[in-house]
Amino acid sequence: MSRRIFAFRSIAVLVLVWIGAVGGFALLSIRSATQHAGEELNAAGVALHRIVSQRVAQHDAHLTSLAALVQSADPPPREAVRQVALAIMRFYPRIVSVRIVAPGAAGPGEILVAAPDGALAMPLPAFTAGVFAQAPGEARAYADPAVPGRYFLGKRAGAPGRPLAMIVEIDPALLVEGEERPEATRLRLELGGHALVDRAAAGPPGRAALETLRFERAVDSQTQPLRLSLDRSLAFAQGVTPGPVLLFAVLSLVGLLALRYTLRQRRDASRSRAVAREAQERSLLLERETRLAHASRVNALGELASGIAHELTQPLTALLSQSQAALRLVAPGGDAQRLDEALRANVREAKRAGEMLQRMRDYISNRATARIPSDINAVIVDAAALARTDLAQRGIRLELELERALPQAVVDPIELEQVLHNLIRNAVDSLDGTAQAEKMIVIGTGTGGGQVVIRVSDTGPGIPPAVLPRLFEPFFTTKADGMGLGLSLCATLVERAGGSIRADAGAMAGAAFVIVLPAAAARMEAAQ
Amino acid sequence: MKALRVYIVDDDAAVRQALSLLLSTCGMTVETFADPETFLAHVDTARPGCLLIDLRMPLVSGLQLKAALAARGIDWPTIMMTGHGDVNACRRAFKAGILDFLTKPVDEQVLLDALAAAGKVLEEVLERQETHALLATLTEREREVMDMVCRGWASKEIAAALAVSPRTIDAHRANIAEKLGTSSVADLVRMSLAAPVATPPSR
Repeated sequence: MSRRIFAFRSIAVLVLVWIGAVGGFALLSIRSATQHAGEELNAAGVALHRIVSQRVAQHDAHLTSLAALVQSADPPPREAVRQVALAIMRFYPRIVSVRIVAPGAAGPGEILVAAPDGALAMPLPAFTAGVFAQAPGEARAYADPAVPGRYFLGKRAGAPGRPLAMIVEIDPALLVEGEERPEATRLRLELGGHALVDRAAAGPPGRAALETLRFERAVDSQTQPLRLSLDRSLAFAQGVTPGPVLLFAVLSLVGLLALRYTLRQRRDASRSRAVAREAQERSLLLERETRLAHASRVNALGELASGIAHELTQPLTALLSQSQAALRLVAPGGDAQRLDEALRANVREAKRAGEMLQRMRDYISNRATARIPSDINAVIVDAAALARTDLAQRGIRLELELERALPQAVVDPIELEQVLHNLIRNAVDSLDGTAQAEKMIVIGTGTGGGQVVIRVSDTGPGIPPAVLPRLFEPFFTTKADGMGLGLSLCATLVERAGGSIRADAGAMAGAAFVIVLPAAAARMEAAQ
Repeated sequence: MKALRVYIVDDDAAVRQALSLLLSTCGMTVETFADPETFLAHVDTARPGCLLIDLRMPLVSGLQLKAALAARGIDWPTIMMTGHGDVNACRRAFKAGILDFLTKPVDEQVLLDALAAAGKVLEEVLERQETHALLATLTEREREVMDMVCRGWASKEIAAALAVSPRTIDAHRANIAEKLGTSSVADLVRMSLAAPVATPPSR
């Protein structure tokens, strides 16, 4: 469950990171596109500005040459001037009309020369008077609201006192005609606030302009202070080129997925390493427990040694005496029947000693745990046999109250025997300290709820209530020379077999321990 | 010499049987008991013997048995056997008057030697008991006279010391010789040593 949540969260994080990366890339690409567009606009603007500046300068040159012709005679050679003007206009179509005006008695003035002829009929613009007021030879640009889309260049010519105004009408649209301009760019040419040329951007009007770029510069001319401006509004589609962004999106998604996969692999690897380590630690623990159990058995055997030694000396005594008696009996005149009896007894006693040794060897054998369906009563009888002598010497009676039809339980008999020995030892320790007349340990068996129950009780002083909760805690002991491992080991061994051990309020006055083991039959059913 | 009687007290049936067989092949009379109680129930002062008991039963019970027997006036030599050579138990056993302390498994020769020694002690004990019984038949005055005889006094000196006539002393001496079955001064000294005056037999 938690793992699924983690995976989901990881996907959410992945998507967020991906969106962030793609967004960042898009912003970056917009910036770069903007910059590029700006540079493009600037380059186009500079080129356009240069051309317009050159062209505008030509106007001054034409006026100067015309002025020279106008002033070559007095009155000016009208026809020659007209011819020259016409020639100029032929080569420079943007010059729409040329008029030479003399101040008139009434009205703005009197047109001396007009090219083309139609210009003669056109009314003189309002600024004509201003041209007469200019300094001799000075040229100035004018815009006439009455004539939109045109501008005029007025130059004062003529001798002092006899001023002449040369008025050249220019179509500014032709100034920029034929010149390249970047797409989606609005071009404007202004003169003193009058828009002379205003070319809207080609193409569909951009919906939401991402950014507006601008190039603006005054045309390099003393006489015609035109302002050239280029406006380019960058639409989203222009700023964000979908191809690279899409490519980046795909690549980054693939990269992120690969990263995620790698991380997940690594996490899985480390998790499996952790699992392996845990398993190794667990097996190490098990091994240590087994080793501890063995050490404890060897130790217990040391405690039991004197009893066991006595147990062995009994058959040895019988063997020795009987054999020596037999030696007498084989002598001539011996009793053959008694000899036979003696030898039979010897065989019996040798076997008995062998069994005792085997039991001892089994008990201290350092072998792997082997849980098999076992007769619990037999295990108890074995344990009692090892302990009985020692108990007898201490004046403690050991009684077995075994239920006859006891089901088997799956245990390691040696480990169970060890648990019993530990419990017997504890009982002995508590009984040794007392001066009571009857010292007794009772080991009983029974069944309950498909389980085998073993109960080890004694007539000692019992377990103080304060000690009870910590009874099975490792290294907890109430004995002066105790390690505090006995009961903890018991619990480990019993739990290993799937059972449980607890202290019980004794049926007699003393302490009682109850071991519950799953019966073998019940266990088999559970396994199926 | 009468066959030595041995009482074996051991809770191990095999050991009882084996020792019984061995000792009987050596010509001894053997009776076996599984525990001290049974033995005490069957013990008969008329059939004296040596005790061979196993110390597997706590030492106390072994020593208790000895005390229980003493209470009945039985002071037969006792040999203890044990499965472990516990020095402390050994020391206590000797202090309690145990004759010998053997470690199981016990070799035939060691056992027989111990039993032979015990047989001698038993004889002495029985003899002493006999002497005690004989001396118990003497009157107080006769015992007095006997002690003085043993000190080497002549009848006259004894008569003077007791302020009676020497004839009376002679009569006492004749009675003593009759009761004890001997008139030899050396025998009287030996019997007197076996039952010193310090612990005179009860009247």
